[in-house]
Amino acid sequence: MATTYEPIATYSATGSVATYSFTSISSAYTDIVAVISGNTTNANMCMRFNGDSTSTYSRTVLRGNGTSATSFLQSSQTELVLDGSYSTPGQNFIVNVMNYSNATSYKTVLSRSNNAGLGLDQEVGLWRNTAAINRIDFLFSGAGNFTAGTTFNLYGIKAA
Amino acid sequence: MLGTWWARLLNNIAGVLAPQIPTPTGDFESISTQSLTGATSTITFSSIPSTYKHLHIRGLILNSSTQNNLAFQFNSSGGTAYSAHQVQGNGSTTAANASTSSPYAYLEGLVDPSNTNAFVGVYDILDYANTNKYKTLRGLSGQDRNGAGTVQLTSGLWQSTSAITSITITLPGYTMGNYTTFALYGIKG
Repeated sequence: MATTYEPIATYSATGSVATYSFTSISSAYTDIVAVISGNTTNANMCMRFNGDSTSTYSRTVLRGNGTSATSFLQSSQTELVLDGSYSTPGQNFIVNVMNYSNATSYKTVLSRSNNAGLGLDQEVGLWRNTAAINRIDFLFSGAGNFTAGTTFNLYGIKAA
Repeated sequence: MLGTWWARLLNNIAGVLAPQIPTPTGDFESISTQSLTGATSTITFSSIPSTYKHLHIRGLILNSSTQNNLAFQFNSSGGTAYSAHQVQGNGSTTAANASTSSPYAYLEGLVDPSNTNAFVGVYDILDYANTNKYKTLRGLSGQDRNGAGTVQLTSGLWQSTSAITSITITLPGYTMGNYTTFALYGIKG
């Protein structure tokens, strides 16, 4: 059997950064998984693919905040927001980018964000572009920074 | 006689050295992948080895024939042994659903027909080869279509103590189409 789920890249912030990017992502895998853990100075952490900031992103969200469950969606956005980020410690994001290098379909993302102090989100996101993804930028839809100790890890999963 | 002596010596050396030379192995292995080039109603992974602790499935559905819910069945065993629960959001409302005594674990992963906006899901089947307990699976899935979509957390139960040796994934009564792909992975314990 082929061993897979391989680390591709990792970064640990030593100070405040507004953006972190995984670049030159190999197309050798079937899916990629990004795991981000740490602190941010603002909400609305988001991601972009291949540097595209056109209105090609959308998402559907299921949210629980300790008192109620809600669902909402956003269409034709300039970035894919991954909610739950805020200036409290212990938050994490696990982002599955499915079939990221196929050139046939739009790219779909399954994301979980967890923050015990605020709640959790389960999200499905869409980038309406058939290009293979070779770059992922993590940034904020408004002002914001990733602070020291925030870690970014990217894994590749290869199907047989 | 000489050949026997050399063979014994080599075997002894190999026996001493073998435990000290780790064989490169992984804990997350690709078992099988199925990609469709046409329409079909079921995808089946069969002859699944029992050598792993858990199974992991990653799937993507395109070109389905109609809107329908994704369902799992194990060992080609129907009957009434399956139940499932879901929490789902459609962009405006949330819902919690359940099915019991069913021939499939209906995961309420609502699949809409599209040739570009894929339905995607990741699923874990825990302790799949254990013969002392029923089998449980969990899933995260969804499909966004820029202005419409569904996202769900799902769990399923198969009330059987049999080791799982095959998995059937289906849109009961309807088809999945070209570019649909499901990949099965084994996780070692």
